[in-house]
This record gives sequence, structure tokens and C-alpha cells, in this order.
Amino acid sequence: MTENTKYISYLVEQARKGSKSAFYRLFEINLAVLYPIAIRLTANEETATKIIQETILFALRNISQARRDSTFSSWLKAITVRECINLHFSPASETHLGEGPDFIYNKDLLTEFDLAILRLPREPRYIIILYDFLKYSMTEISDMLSLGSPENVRVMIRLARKKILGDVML
Amino acid sequence: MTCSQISSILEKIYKYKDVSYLTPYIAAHIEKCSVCSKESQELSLYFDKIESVSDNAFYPQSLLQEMNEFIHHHTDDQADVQVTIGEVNLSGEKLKTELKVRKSIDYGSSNIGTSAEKQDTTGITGSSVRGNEAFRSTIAKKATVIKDKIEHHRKIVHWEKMGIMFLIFVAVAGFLYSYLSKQETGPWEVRLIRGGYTIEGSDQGNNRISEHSIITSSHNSEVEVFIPAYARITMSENTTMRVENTWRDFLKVQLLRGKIMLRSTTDLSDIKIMAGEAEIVCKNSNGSVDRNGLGEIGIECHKGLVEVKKDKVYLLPFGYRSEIKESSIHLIPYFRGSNNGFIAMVGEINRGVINSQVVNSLISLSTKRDIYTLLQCIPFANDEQRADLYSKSLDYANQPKEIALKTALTLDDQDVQIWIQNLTENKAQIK
Repeated sequence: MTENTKYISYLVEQARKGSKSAFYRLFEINLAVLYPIAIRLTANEETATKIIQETILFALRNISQARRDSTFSSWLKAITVRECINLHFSPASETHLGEGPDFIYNKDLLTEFDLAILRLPREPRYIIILYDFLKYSMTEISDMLSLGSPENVRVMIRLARKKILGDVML
Repeated sequence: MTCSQISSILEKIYKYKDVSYLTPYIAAHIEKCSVCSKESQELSLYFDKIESVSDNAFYPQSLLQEMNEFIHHHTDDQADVQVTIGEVNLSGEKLKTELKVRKSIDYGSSNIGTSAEKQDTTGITGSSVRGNEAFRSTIAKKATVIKDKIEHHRKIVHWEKMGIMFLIFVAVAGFLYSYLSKQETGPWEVRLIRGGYTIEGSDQGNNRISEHSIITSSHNSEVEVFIPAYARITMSENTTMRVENTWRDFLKVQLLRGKIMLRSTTDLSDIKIMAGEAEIVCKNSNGSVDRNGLGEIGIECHKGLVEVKKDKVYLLPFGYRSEIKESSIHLIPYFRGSNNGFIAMVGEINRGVINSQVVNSLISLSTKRDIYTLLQCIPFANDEQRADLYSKSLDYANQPKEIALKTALTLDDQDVQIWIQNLTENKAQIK
């Protein structure tokens, strides 16, 4: 067990006992990873902030389920992804939310490559982030987004990659 | 293999940075096929970008404050435990406080308690000794208890350390056992690149082979055989091969017909005999020398010349770079000629046809890259041909000092080996 893992484990234990500071510290450590996921998936800064808040709420309610090791970070990532999918793909999803680089105010945080991803339509954007960044399998993605067969995912990945590269090369 | 199959392999190569998928066949395909070549470049660029972007962790500074307020707003007003890195007991030192007390006892510290407390203690104990002494005696008892505790904890820590060491030992032993047994018992697998193959008469659908299996590749085919200890054999068309055993350090492949090529996926070597040594027995199915390239084979080595003769067993040292190119009656191992015409002439010599026409063609078609082959033809040639071959060889490379006194007519097989060895060690001698 590394020093870092011990520290995370200690914080999770304290957060389970009700320590606000421990919980805040856990989020402070993971925010730099969770926020890019949220902003790339939602393509909207306000929505991304909302997603982070939802993630915090879910984690607060279910902290007892969290494991006391390095997988805590993976747990938070999974919550963030699930909150995004719930927001965009559930039957009662909010479809009026704007998406794209225009809805990001702090553009200096993003690279050209990020902006090219944000220009993609919702489904291909989700697929690319889940597959290429978060290493989900095609089967998992097709199940999560209800896209039918993994072959559909494969086709969309190819098209999306071409589009991103085209944007970046221009 | 189709372009779409290559495409999926390309993705594995770039996404997971796993170059083990990049076989020479795939590399050659990418080089030839413009579509795959373009896709390879695009994927390389794409995943480079992904990698650089993935490391870019960010959030707006104001968000942290917002989240802090959000967390405090949504949690109960219960007593909070302030957490700082300094408070964390990373090394699990539960004995820290006790050790401090012990230290103060050892040094005979007398600053525990006030003078009033000392007097009170005297009153309570009713002892005739001075209060301070009575207080000390009480502490001494506590100290004994603490010492016992420390000793107890020390024993626990000692056994914990022993336990961890034992677990590490078990893990290492388990890893070594699984690694070695994997090498020893790993399956032989056959993968078709093109054409077809059979295993002991079964259909080509089988891809697992076992000891004593006979694999036959059909016309116009290429087959890859993965053998334990990570060795790999490529069977070209019309080859028949028998798997003799799958021992860990003793991989034996019996070539019955045709030609095979042993390869490595390491950078250093073309032959993948990772387990130290490989035994190769070469003979045809009826045990006689075949004049049509079905008898003995030659092996081309980096470090030196290795000939493989019929019914003889040769152990290839670890790391040898070898390629079995063709069978031979004259055992000329270097068949990799600079052009097809030259190779055809060497083939003639190996089939026993060595006349002035063949030798003249050989000389006229040769380049300096063929010096090894030219030299090895000398011992088989007649006097006139020897002079021509010798003269041409001198055009390409200097004669070493060891055999400086030898002439075309006196140059024997051993002298040729010395010359070749000399050239192998010092390629600068080739003009």
C-alpha cells in the first residue's frame, strides 16, 4: 500500500465517520480528474458544475459503500459518468441544454483537441470519451447508451475520430 | 489478412501501446497498403493527442470554493474532525505516546505532578517514604506495564514483519512457478496468415497443437506457429513439420519437408528462441538426402556460421540470429543472394550442378553482398572455376592474414571458414 493510498484510505474512513473536511479533501484531490470528464461529456460549463454537485451528493449519501483504497477515485469517476448519462440519455433527460465550445467560458483551460471533441454531437462525443479516454469496452458503451450492437459503436468511433482529426488538422 | 482486420490490430497497437501486435507481416502490409498506411498515421497522431490531453487535469479555481460551500451546506452540523496531512498516521505508529512516557522514565524525570500532588499522594498511600518517592514508585509500576505493552507490540510488529516477508516469499515463488510452468506447458498455436494448413489430417480450423502433431502447410500459404517460451516459426508453402516435445528449455521442431523460418519478436534477433537453446533436427520423411532442397538445411547466423547436416542435432545458443532459408546438398548456408538470378545459381550448385556455365553466371550476377556465398562455393568447384571464384572474391574482400599464403587451388573448406569468420567480425573488410 503506498503512502498516497494510505492517505486516501484514511480520508475515506474519516469521511465515513462524518468528517466534512475529510470529504472535502477527497473531492479536492479528485476534482481535477472529475471536472474534465464532466465538461467533455456535457460540453457545457454550467451543466458540468451541476454534474459535479450531483456527484458530491451521491457520494455523500453512499460514502459507506465506498472502498477504502485507491479505487475511490474510480468510484467517483463512475458516478460522474452515470450522472452525465442520466442527465442526457434517460427518458426524462433535459434536452434543451446547450452543448459545444460556445457554452464554455474558461476556454483557456481546454486544448484544441478538447474543443474538437466538444464540437461533436452528443452521442459520438460520449462514445469517444468513454472508449478512448475512460477505456470502457464497446459492449459496455452500447449498453450504457442503449445503442444496440457494439458494431454501431465501432462505426461511430471511426467517424468521430476522423471528424476530430479533421478539425485539429485544419 | 484483410484491411479491416489490420485496422483493428492497429487500434490495439496505438491505443494500448502494445507493439507485440506489430508482426513483420502486418508491418509489411502497412508499408504496401496505402489505406492502412494512412490509417496507421492517423491513429498514431490521434492517440498521441489523446495521451497529451488525458494528462491535462483542470478545474476553475472558483469551483473549489463552491464545492466546499456545497459540501458544508449539505452535511449535518456534527462535530468535525480537522484533517491535515500531518495528522495522518501513515506508518501506523500507535506506540508514539507510550514511547514518549518511557523515555521520560528512563531519564528519571521528576517533573510529573506538582508538589501538592506529591504531598497528597503521601497522604493517600500512608507511606513513610517521601511523597516524591511514593509518586515515583507508582510511576514505576505504570512503567512496567508500559514496558510490557511495548514489548508486546514489538513482538506483534516482529511477527507482522515475518508474516509480510513470508507473504512476499509466497508471492514471488508463486509468480516464478506460474511463469516457468507457463513456459513449460504453454500451448502450441497455429495461426494462418494466408493459404491453408492441416494438423494431422484435420481441417485447418484447428489452431491448437500438441506434442507429436504434424503440421502441413498447403500450396501458396504462410502459417505462423507459436511455440512455448515465446518462440515463433513461420512455415512457408508446402512445409511439413512435427512438434517433438514442449519442454521448457528444449524446443524441438522436426522439419520433414519444405522450409521453415524461426523468428523472434525481440529487437536483437530474428529468431525467437527465448528459452536458451533450441534443437532442430532436419531430415526428409524417408531419411535420405534429397537433391531438391529437401535434405539438409543451412542456418545463417550473426555470430558465426552454423551448418545443419542431416540427422545431426545442433543446439542454437541463446540470442542467435538465424534464418533457415533452403535445403542444400552442398550445405552452402548463405542463400540470401542479392538477386534472384544469383540465388537460382546457388540453388543449382546445391542440387549438385556445378559447371562453368553456372559458375560464370554466379560470378557475373554477384555483388559484394554475395561474398560469403561465393567463398563457400570455392571448395566445390574444379580448378578452373576455383580460380574465377577466388579472383572475384578478392575483388569484393581482402584475404585475411591467417590464410594469406593460400592460393585459389589450395584454399580448402577450413580456410574459407576462416575468411568468412574474419569478414563476419569485421565487415569493413568488404570493399
